[in-house]
Amino acid sequence: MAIECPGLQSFIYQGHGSTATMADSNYRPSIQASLLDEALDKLSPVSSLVQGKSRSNQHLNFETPSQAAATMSPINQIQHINQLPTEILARIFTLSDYERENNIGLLVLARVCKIWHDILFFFPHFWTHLAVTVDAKLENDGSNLPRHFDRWYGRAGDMPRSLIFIFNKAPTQTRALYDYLTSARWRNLTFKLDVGGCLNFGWLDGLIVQATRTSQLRNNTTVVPCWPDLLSLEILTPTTVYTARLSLPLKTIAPQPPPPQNTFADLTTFSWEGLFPTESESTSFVESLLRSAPKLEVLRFHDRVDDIGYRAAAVKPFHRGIRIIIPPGDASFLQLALLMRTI
Amino acid sequence: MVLLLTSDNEMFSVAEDVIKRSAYIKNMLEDVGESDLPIPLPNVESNVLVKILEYCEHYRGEPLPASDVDPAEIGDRSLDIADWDQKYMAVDQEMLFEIILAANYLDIKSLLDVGCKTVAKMMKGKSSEEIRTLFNIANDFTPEEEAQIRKENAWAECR
Repeated sequence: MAIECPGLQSFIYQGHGSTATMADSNYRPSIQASLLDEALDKLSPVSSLVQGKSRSNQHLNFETPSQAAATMSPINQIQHINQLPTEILARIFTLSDYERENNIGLLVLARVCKIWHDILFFFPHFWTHLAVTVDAKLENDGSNLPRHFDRWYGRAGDMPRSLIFIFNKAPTQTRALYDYLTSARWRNLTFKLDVGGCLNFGWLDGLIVQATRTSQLRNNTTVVPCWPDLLSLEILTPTTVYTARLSLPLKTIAPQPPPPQNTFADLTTFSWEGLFPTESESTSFVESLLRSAPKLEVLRFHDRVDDIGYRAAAVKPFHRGIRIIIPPGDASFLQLALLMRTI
Repeated sequence: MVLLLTSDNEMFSVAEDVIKRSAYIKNMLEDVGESDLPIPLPNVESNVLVKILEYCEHYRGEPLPASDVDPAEIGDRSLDIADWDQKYMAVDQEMLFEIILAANYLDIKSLLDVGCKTVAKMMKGKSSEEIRTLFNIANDFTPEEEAQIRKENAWAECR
């Protein structure tokens, strides 16, 4: 028998039956079913549908190679994708659903056939991530979003969740949505402002205020963060001017590292209308803003900052693009931000 | 050299450093030690093993990935596939599935990853109906079930 194998340098074909020692050995495979299969066996609607799932889960262990017997009989070749083991199909689905800002891929897969639908609904990790684009409909259905979220994330069980909120329209403040967002267990939160001509991100400011209040309300004496598991907070905006009333007391609302990711790649003007962020948590926010806004030229603070005691004139400039800081005396805050990182 | 016996009773003799890309074989060799006796592979047919060995031979000498590291688990969810791997995977669907199955059985994570990515890429951008056609899958939903699924998730699809 000739077997073609281009490029294979260490291949020796010995032919069937040349190892007679196997014929009288005792072939006793011990099958180690994966935990997945055990779980699937309990889930009859899935396990009954998935054919061939046990085939590759059988890692046959032989005490010695001689215990392999010649009683092995060829198994049927796999001919259909649904004969792949469940965990492999799930792996393929995971790869197929990689688009971060799109849920469609997952739902397309769930509608292919019952087997795929059942697999997708069996594995919680498929449902831990959701991307929602807020368009004109939010004003009408904003209060319905928490119900939709509950249904979607409910399939994720207790797994930490991540949400991408994309705003294509300036949203109204919806209390139900605030309540949901400040009570759920989040691992990653991303807010992407993509509103043409809209300079005010008041909705996010309102959410941060609610998060701060919620954290403080949970215990009158000790602050209990409303997002204790939050690992990343992203605020993304492609606009060039950002007007915020934003204070970001991360230590209060989300103490987990790392600090927020702020990608303001094209931002040229940042205007701060709220209380000046003398808290160290907000300092880190402004600092990360400066780091991620290379084109920033104008930094405007509308409220006077208290004298924060740092007048270190020797601190070298750390953002070369900034031309204007309003009011001028608040340059000391930038020095503070730098000092806190470098000391 | 390591002797491998496929499910269709074909015997292969393979260099140890080639086949050790399979964590399954590698562990077995470490557990059992050197032996002249073949390792039975009851889940792998000879034509598939030839293809598997072609992959192992191509990557011969390259560092073995950590045995417990799964590319998908460390966040590698891109569908990028190396040129050689793409050509290697240019096979019919049955062989593609057999390679995936064998890679899973033999615990060759990098090959399993390439196989799964190949299938995922085939599905990318396709509708449910197109995927059914691609893989010859029957639509076993009743119209009522289909409508229910569509209704439940309509809010997420239009966003």
